[in-house]
Amino acid sequence: MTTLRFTAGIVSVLAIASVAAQQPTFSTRRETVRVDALVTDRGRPVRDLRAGDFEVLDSGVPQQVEFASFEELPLTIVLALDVSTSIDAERLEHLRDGGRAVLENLRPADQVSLLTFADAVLVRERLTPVTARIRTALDGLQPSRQSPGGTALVDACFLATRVLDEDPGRSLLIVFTDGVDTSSWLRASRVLDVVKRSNLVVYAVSTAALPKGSFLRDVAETTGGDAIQIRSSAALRPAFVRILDEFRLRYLVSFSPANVRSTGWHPLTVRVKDRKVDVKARAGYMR
Amino acid sequence: MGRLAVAACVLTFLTAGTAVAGQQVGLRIVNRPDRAVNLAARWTDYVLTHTAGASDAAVTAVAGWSSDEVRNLLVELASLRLILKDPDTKFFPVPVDFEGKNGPQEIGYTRGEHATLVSTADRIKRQRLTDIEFIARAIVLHSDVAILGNGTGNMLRTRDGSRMEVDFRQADHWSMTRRLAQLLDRKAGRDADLAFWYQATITWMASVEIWNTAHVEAAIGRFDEDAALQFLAGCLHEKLATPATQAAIASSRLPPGVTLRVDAPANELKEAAARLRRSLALDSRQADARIHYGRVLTLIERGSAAVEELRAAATLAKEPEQRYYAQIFLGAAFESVNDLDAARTAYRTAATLFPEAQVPRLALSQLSAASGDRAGSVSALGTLLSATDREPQPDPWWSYYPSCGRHAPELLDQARRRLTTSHAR
Repeated sequence: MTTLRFTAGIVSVLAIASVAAQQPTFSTRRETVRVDALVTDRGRPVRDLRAGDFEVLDSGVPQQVEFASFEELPLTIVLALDVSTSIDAERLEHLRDGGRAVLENLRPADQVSLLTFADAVLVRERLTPVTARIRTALDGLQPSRQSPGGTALVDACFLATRVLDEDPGRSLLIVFTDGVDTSSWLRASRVLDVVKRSNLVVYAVSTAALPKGSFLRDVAETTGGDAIQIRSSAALRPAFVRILDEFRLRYLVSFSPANVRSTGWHPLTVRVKDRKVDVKARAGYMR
Repeated sequence: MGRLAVAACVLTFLTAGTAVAGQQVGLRIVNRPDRAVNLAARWTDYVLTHTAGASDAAVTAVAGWSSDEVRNLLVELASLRLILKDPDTKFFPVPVDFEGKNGPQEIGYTRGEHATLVSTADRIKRQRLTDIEFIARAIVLHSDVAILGNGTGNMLRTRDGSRMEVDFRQADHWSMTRRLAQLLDRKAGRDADLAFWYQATITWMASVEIWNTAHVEAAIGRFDEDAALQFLAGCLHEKLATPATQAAIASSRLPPGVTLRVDAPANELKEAAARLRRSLALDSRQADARIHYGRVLTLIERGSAAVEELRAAATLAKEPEQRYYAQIFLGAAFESVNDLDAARTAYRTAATLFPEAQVPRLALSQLSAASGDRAGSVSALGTLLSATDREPQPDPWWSYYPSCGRHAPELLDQARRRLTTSHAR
């Protein structure tokens, strides 16, 4: 579900949460939509905004923004990595190095899960704070030995939504592939619908082109993330670090939908009043 | 997989005056490249000594020949056939395919070349083979070169699942086999053997994911009423319609002058449906054809018809993989007509057939997620959400396309036997 249910009081608990063990609890009294928004002015993050500075339109209807925080909330991350047969030894080392960069840049309260995909989609490590176990799992990555050796990218993104759906935190999926989907069972459009029901932000990184209309670009743009094409897998480390940095600079904006229909796709517009700034946020949500 | 055109400069004009005389007045006389006749003599020996299905000296030697060398063998083969019919013949017309722009031509073999051809024809005769039987054996040799000697010709091969690049190889021996097959016309009495050979070779191609449109088109063009060939043609077009194939082609820069005979996905699926429908009209008992047809019907949004086909397929299916395919595709067909309970039942049945397979669990989870049942969605995944460092058991879905070729070894053995067996005279 795109929507989280919590009260204003709980939000403040969430904002000061400092260790992973302190999982927030949520009441079901009121439905609240959460939007991760990146606000930049000529490429530089804008840090001084309050709830009243934001303007949110749900299906074109102005909403009362209840909360906007630039606090550095704990992150919940799934790192989904392509280990299909096209990943040779050099690329695999770049993958491991990129993964290590993510782990190095996490904080004690953050959680991370490692997922790999070729034909098979495998959870290598469930959501956990950075531990020796996940480092070991990352170091032990091997290319798939399955034949004929496909790439189930769409299936992997779906499984990532299920991993993240177990945790109500601030969710980020970083997915890397060096090709296109060749063996998923699930249809891209249906997984996109599932993503629209989640609070997930997706950043896709690929050495292949990510044209408009491709699954990865669609899923990244829909969630307010980004689709990043890199020249080679050697650029994975800086790409992953940049994603983490950008994600930490986002505002968490929330509102309770009013005067809009109760089901279906809700297009969202997020703006900052009276300022010429760029805002990157999810395209909408599904109820 | 699209094939690349291979240009061949076949004949050079005669300049010397020592040729065996032509008998047809007015024909331009041409001679042969230096090595052509000797190569044909060696080739004949390889055809006669090759053990079908073995990677022997014949396969190794012929695999090293160039495209032009292989193609030119057909010129000498035509001459050998004339000598086999009439040892005293002195007139060797250039085969029509090899004629230049100026029309019919005659080959002016040197006396030495002529003698070599005569002794080569004698070796065929000594093995009590007719020209038809010799050609059938040549088809087996070149098939084996293609299969065992990597002689599949230049191919476009996907890299990283997103780009295609030319995989340059030696001569295209599949093209050679088709040219040889053309020489065995209906009067040769080998149609059944040839149809079976086409079935076996296309099946082998499917098993290793080589999608050779020219080979399939040649087979269908000649044996339009063959249910197995129509099925394989349907599988080819189903594969060409896949997003992966289409994306790879769209993002590839082909060498100048190279085109691929791959249409838009909708058209490829339409063609696949037509071929599979025809296959089933010719033989309605084929479980595989019904499974593929049912799946294609779902993809072209004829969900109700797909459900009917796949129900029938499920009852025909005998092998576990067939039954699994029938159930997962039935699940997808039910989803397409919004009968979600029936879809769940089909996926659950599939899960009982291959308990470790991922597809049924992902499908059931996605159905729950779409209906907002978060707990059901997580529970349907079962152990898929558990951390693991071991590769799972293969899901038959991963090898759906090459599964059309799963009987390739037996079929190839049989095809080789049929083509190397002399028919009673």
